[in-house]
Amino acid sequence: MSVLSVKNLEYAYSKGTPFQIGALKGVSVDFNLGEIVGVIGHTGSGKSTLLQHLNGLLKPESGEILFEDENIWSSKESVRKCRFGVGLCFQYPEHQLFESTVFEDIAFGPKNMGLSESEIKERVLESIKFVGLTEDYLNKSPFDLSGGEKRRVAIAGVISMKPKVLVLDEPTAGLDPVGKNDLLDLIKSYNKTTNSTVIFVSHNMDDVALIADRVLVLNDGNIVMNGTVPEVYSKGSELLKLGLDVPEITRVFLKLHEAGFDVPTDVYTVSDGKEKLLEFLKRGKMNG
Amino acid sequence: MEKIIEFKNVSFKYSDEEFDVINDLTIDFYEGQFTCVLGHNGSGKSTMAKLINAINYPTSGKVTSFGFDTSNEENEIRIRQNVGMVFQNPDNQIVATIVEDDVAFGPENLGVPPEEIRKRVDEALKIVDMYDYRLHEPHKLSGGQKQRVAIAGAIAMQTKCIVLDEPTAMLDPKGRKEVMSALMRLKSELGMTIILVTHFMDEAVNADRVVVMNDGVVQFDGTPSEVFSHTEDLKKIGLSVPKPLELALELKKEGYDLGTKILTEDAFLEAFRSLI
Repeated sequence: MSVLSVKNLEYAYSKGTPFQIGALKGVSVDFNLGEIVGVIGHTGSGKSTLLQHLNGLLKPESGEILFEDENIWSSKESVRKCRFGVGLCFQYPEHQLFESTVFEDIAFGPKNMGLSESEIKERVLESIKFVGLTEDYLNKSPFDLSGGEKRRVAIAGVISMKPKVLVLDEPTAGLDPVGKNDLLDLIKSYNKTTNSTVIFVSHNMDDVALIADRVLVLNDGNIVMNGTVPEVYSKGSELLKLGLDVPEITRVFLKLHEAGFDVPTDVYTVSDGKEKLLEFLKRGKMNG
Repeated sequence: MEKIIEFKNVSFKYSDEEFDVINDLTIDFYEGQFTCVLGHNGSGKSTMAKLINAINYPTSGKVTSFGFDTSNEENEIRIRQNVGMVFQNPDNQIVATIVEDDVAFGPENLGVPPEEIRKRVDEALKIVDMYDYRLHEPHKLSGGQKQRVAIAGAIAMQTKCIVLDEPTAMLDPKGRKEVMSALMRLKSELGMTIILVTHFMDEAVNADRVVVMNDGVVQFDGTPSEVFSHTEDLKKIGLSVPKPLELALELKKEGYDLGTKILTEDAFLEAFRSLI
C-alpha cells in the first residue's frame, strides 16, 4: 500500500534567470508502507531536492505529492499533517541541535504537535531508548555529547513525532564503521517495530545493500533505476557510468568473473560472497 | 628517511574536558611517506592532526614540526609554511570568489612575487586536475572539486607536508576517487609527505604506513597488510578491514587459505588464482 506518492514532480532552481537549473524533471514514484528505500545518485542528481519535497519544505512547480492519498498542498491542514507524518532528518543533523538539554531538544517536535506534558515525556523516553542512549543523557547539554551521540539525539528528535515515513539524508556520513553499523541496525529495527516507511539517501552502496528493500537511482533529475538491490546492483557497469560505485565485494566478483572464473556478479555482502565462493570451490573439486 | 615531525610524550586535553584526548603519545612521521591515520570517532586522530601544525598545542610533552617546537607561538608561521591542512567540510575553507584567487591566497600572504604566484597557482591546479576550472566560482563546484582546490592552495604555498582531516567524508564516490588520485600524484610527482586521517579503510590500502589510534594512543603502526592482519582487534575498537580481506579471512575459516595480504580486489584475484 502506498503511503507517499510523488507524481510528475518538476522543480528548477533560479527559475526565470539565465542560471536556471532543472533539479527534478518529472519524477514519479510510490513509497509503500513498511519498506526501506535507499536513494542513490551522484552529487547534483536531485536526491536532496526530492527529499525536501517529501515533507513540504519545497513546493513543486508542477506535479504533486500525495501523503495518505491526499495532496499535501491542498490545504494548510494537509501540509501540517504531512510535516508531522513525514519526519525529515537532514545530513549532519547534529548541527541542528539547539535546546539547552537533550530532553528539550527531543521534545521540540512533540511539543509543536500540541501533545500533553505526559505524552511528551513518554515520547522522549521512548525515543531516547530507541536510539540506544540511556535516560542519563536527558539532562545533559546536547553540545557536550560526542558526534555519534549528537546524531542519535537528532534522530530521536525526529522519531519522537512518530512519523509514518522517516526520511534521512545520508544518515551514516562521517561515522566510523561500528557507529555506521549501529545506526543502520537502529534504522532497520525502527522500521520493523513501527512498520513505518524509511527513505534514506546514501553514497555508500554497502549501506544500501545491507538494509534497503528497494533502491532508487537518480540521475540528472530523473529516476533512472527503481528496483530491488539485486536488480539495481547487477547493472554494475551502468552504475559506474552514472558516477556511482558498486559495493567492494561486488568489485571482487566482477574481477573474478572478468578473469574467467564462473562466479556470479550479483554478490554484495561478505557473507553472501563466502557462500558463493565455497560453492564454486566445491564444484571445482567435483569436476576435478 | 628523514624525520620531519616528532611527538614526544604528548598529552592533550580540551579545556572543558576531564580526560586526555591524546595520552602520552610518542610517534614520528617521515619525509615523503604517505601515512594513513585510522581510528573510531573520538579516538583522538583529528586532535593529533591538529597538533602537527600548531592548531592545538600539547598540554604536556612536545611536538616538533620541521624542527620547530609547536608550543612556541613565534614558530607558528614557519610551521604552517611547511605543513598545510585540509579539513573535512569543503565549504569551510574557501575564501575567494574565483578558484585561482583562492589558490593564490596563501602565497600572496607569504609575499611571493606575482610572476612566481602565477606559476605556482597554475602548477598546483594542474596537479590536482583543476586547471580547467581556474576561472570558475568555487561555490558552484562539486565537493570533490572544492577539496582539490583546497589541496592546491596548500601546494601553492610549497608546503612540504599536507595533513588532511577526513577530506572525503562528505563526498560522493566520484569525488572521493578524484581526491585520492590527486593525493597519489602529490606523492609520486612532488614527493610530498601526506598524513591522511580517514574512516575509509579502502583509502588506507595504498598508504606506505597505517597508524591506528584508540583512546589517544597508537594501537597499531605498520604497513597496511601488517595492520589489517589484526582483524579481530580492529573490529573491537570500532574499525573494519577492507572487504576483500574480510572475505579472504572468512574463506580461511573454511580451510581455503588465501593469505593475509588481500587488501584489494586485484590481490584477491591473484591469490584466488594460485589457490586453484
